[in-house]
Amino acid sequence: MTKNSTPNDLIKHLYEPEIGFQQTLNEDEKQELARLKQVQNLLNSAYTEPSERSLEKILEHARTSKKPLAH
Amino acid sequence: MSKIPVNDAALISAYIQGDSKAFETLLNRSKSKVYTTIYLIVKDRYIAEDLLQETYIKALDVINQGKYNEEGKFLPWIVRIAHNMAIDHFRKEKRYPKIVLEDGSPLWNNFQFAEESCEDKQLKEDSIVNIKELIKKLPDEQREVLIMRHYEDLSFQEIADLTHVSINTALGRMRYALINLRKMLEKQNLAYDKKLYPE
Repeated sequence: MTKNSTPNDLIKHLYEPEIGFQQTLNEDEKQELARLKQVQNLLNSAYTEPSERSLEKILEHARTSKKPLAH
Repeated sequence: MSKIPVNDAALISAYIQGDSKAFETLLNRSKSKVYTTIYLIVKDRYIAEDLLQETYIKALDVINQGKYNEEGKFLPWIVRIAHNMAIDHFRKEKRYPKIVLEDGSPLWNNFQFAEESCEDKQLKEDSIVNIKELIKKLPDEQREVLIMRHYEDLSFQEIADLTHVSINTALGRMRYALINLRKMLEKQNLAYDKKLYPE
């Protein structure tokens, strides 16, 4: 048996899934969830890498700022 | 034989004990998420690079002073530092007026435009969907929730608390962000199809 979910319920489930939620969805809601999932997947392609130069500066700071442990 | 992955808390301990390589592993694990969070807030690659360095230097100073106490939760901790650094950047910008050129345009905007034209123009010309550009076009409130939920991994409840809105408002903003992105993507794809198959 299906019950009506609010549009916000779909968004909540997309990011914070609850077991059994999908079984409560009607066909339209399942299609809407699939479309939202496509956009969500695409957002992962926005991950960007910083330059090597920045990383080297950070690593240099990690090496030089570390005080030797007192024994 | 495969290596067993070491958790973040163990890496921080190793770094404190003098193993610089341990910090390098932490950096490699977190850099993409931290940098993307900053970049999507400040929308400028050069500023994002600077803020990335400041973020990790601040984190290192906290660790080296023995003040780090977020055992096992390094990533959300450093992403929060990055987020706050990016927001502080806007506050500082407000405090110090921009340098304006003779034609009245801000110097920084021109710089940003030049940078964008090198990196992004080619992508646009090739009609490759650049999701980062589309995120930048979202209204601030929607972009903020999207970054916090998708890239910073904050829960909707945490976002609601931090932005002083109800959880339904946070969910609604996220919903509109995703719908608006979908619309922009459809529009872009339509333009791409027209370019490929002119009527």
